[in-house]
Amino acid sequence: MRMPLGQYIAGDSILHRLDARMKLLLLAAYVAALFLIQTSLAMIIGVAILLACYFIARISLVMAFRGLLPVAFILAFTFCAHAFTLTYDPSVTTAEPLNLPPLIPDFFASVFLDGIPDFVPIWGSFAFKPVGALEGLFFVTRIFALISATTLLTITSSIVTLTSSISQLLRPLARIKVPVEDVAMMFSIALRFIPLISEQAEKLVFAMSARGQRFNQGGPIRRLRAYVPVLIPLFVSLFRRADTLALAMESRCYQGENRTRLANTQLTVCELISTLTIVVMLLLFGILC
Amino acid sequence: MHICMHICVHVCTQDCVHDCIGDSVGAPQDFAINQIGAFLATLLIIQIWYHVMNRLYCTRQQANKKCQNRLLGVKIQKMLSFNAITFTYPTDTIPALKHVSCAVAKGSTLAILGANGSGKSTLARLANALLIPDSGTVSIIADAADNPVNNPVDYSVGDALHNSADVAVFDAFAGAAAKAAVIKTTEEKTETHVSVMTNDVADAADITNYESIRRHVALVMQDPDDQILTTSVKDEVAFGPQNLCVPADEIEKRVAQALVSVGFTTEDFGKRDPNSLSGGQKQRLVIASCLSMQPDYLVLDEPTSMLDTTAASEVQKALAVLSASGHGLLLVTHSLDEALRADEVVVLQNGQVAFSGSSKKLWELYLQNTQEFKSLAISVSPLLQLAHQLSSFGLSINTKQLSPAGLTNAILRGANAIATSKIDAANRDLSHTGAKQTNMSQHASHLHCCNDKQHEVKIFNVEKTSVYGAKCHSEALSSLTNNNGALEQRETLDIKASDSGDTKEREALLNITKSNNSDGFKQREVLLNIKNVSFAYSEAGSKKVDVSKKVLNNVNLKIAAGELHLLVGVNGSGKSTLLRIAAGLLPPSCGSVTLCDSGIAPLPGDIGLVFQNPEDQLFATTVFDDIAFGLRNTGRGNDAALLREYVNDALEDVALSPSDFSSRSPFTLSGGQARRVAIATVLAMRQRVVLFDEPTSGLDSHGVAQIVGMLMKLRASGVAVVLVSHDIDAFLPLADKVSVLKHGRVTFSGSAAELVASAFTLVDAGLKLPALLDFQQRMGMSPNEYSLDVATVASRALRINSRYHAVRAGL
Repeated sequence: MRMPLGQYIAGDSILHRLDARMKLLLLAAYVAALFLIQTSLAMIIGVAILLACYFIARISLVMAFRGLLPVAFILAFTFCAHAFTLTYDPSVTTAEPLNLPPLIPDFFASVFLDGIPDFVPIWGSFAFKPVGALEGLFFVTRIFALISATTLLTITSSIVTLTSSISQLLRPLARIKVPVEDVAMMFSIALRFIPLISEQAEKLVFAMSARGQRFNQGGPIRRLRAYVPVLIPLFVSLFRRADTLALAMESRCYQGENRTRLANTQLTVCELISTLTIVVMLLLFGILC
Repeated sequence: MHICMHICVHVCTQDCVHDCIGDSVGAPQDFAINQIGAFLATLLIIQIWYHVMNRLYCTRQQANKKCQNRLLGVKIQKMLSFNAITFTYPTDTIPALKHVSCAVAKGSTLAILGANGSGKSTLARLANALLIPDSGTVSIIADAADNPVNNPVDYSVGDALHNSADVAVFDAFAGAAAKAAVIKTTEEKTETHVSVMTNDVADAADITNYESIRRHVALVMQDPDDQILTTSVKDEVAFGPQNLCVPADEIEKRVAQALVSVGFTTEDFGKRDPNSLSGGQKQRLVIASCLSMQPDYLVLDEPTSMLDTTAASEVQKALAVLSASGHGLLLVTHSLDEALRADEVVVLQNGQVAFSGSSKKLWELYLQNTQEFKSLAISVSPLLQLAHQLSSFGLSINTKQLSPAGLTNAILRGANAIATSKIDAANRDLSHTGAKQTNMSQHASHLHCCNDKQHEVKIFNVEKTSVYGAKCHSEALSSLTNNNGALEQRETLDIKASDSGDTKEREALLNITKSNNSDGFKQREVLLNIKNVSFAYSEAGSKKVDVSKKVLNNVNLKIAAGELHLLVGVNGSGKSTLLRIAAGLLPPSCGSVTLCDSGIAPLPGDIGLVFQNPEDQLFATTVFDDIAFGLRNTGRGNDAALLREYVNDALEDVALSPSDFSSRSPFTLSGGQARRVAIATVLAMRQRVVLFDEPTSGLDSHGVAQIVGMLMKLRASGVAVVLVSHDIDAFLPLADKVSVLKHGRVTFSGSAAELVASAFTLVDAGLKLPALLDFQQRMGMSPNEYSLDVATVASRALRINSRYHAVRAGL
């Protein structure tokens, strides 16, 4: 049973059909806008755009939240770091003016923070900071939007087209001696071999289980050690594979940089113009709001 | 850049989480596996890069040292030739090849036949300039006139040098007499070439020289998975020409052309992910990606040994097309069948040429059964044995007829009727073998006599209709052969007829077989009971099991002690999944697996499981530790004496001496030894049921024989052996029980004799018939008289031949 790499879900929405290079550009513009915007309202608009895209692509929002799981800890940490303070000093509460960052001065802050104390002391110098909580929420939303947008990209375009698009977009860098072709080649090989290697690892885990090895017993160290008999043969065969692969490349005259480039797939004018317009709009939105 | 990095990281983490949530089955393992996979892939890339760069660097260095002064021109001929090649690996003291000379002409096929470790693969790599000989020359001479490589856009050293011919020779010094001769005969040319070399091309010549060899000689290796580099079929085929700096539009043309010549189309396959192709398709893709470089010669290093029979015949067909289109093929193989289909054969033994000559000559050597042939130690397939038997009765068979279809032609079309005396001899032969067999088969031969009458009528009918139609004897003959298809059709009718119960004898026979078997099985204790097992992988992202995508569907199997249970089916029919469920590694979606000793489902470790390429599973520092690993895991490692006894017994079971091997590192073993040690690691656990998944794939006949011997011993000791194998030819005669899987269902389960009688179930499951059965089917024998015994088949075939000639003479 081979797990599909990435999380591409085939579909026929406009987002699925759009050239992956354009999608990458749009994502870049969107991310830039996210970092540029300063107000909560703008952030809400940003999230709305994202949700609209999810709707257009007919992708369940569950996927977006699933994408957040690996970074859930980071999100919680970011929020807490903003919402709580360890340096609260009851004696200087009023004396020190609040050093509010410029991202709060919109109407949400005034609505929510009206009549709410700057600090809610909890224990000793540990205190809750309502303003900070809003600020934290702002940052968490930003990370959420960031990750959900990339998730949307990986859901709507297969990983193969993504890597080839990235290498195509980076091609101009070859002029300043960035080994773009080599990197693209490496990615291509990686993409091809990850499923093969996972499959082999799976087989080895089964083979070792059949020899009485237990992978889900004991503490973390014991569990990790249980993987040694899987890793060693995997490495050995990996080296063998690498050897053969190098031979195969060499026998087909591979010499690194000096190769013909195949023509990129042509972009339609419509695609290009609409993408560029949206990119400009996104950037303006980021700068102005 | 930041975004890109982010996406990459994101994809990886996403993937893991995905699996973690998605897969309820074996979830804790999968999570780790994917992370390990991703991590190792990264390492793999670094490793590959290191190797490629290192090799390229070395090649340049070597080129500087050797090639500059050693470039020779040889008499212009369209040949890839090896002259007195000697080669020693840097890590070895014994030469891998000693004074090997051979040659392939364009449009012909040279087969290199030899056992594992005889130096075949080394020779293949020498042909491609991946290795440079210590002494001797490898030369490739292609004529410019019909050489499509000479495209004006991609220049090579050769083109710069010659107007009419493209010469690329590489060699290495040492004062071998043979090489001196080469230099002598081509003295003039040598001088001119070298001078041109030094004047015009200078330093650039070194590396491009290797390149110009590689563009003329392409290499296809064993495992297609290790040779495919990219993520789309089109990119893969374009990879070679891209490296040769062929212009983009020309590449497009070449890709389309190359794909067509292996039976693909750009529309259907161009964008496919190579990982989604079947084994045979992958190997064809590798061939296509060599063809796009427009080579003159293809070196194929056991291209079919990792494939199942169906995929192998797919690749062989593609090769036949190439050979016909004028490519020179150098086919490295360990099967005599394949070698005999080539034009020329070289047999290698321990790095030396043991035989060199036309395949016809080798065939004659075999037919005469000379000492010379025996000394080559080549094992012979049942089909060739049959051909041998037939020709010993006077039927002339040439090397092109060494296939089931070819032999059928030889018998039905053969101008010479075999003398009656010889037939009698054959019949005596049959009765002799019959006497040796049990009463069951005597009964069977009685049945054959009854059926023979039907046969006579059948063949007579064929003859009659064709004669009426053509009224010409020779035409009648040809139409008879054309009627092969009709014969096959009748075959199926035959099956139906016998199914409807027209032959009571047949039923009686079946009853006898059944009762015989059931007697046998009564004594045998059922060890493992697989009951109504269905299995479906849960769909990614949901905990629901998709019932429509069942990998296994209501499988019932009983595995008894002391039986060899052969499990066959095409790739994807669910064999491997069934083994995993049987071993308790995967829980069935519904149904149950019970170990009959304990009455409960087996836990991992209760049942032995040997995976494909078991040598890839060795990991410990010594063979002893590796074998003891399973014992220690199952709590039998405390008593040192007992542990040693178990380990020693296991090593002896696989015919390795415990004193020699216990303390060796498993990584210093040869391929065959490593595989046997890996099997010993499972045998040491002394489980009563052992499952084998393709234990013989990639082994030469000698290695297969060793594994077979070991399996027989295991069975004799009362272990239930379940075997998944593509090699039906080898295992069908040995199996006690056979089950055929098709789309996750068991379509047949019974004794080997029963399967032989209903061979159509194999065809129905998408499998290739074993050569002997295929032959009998083509001969129009009825299924219930099919046999796996070569002598029986031969004498029956002869009887058909004589009857046919008798009918013809009577006209």
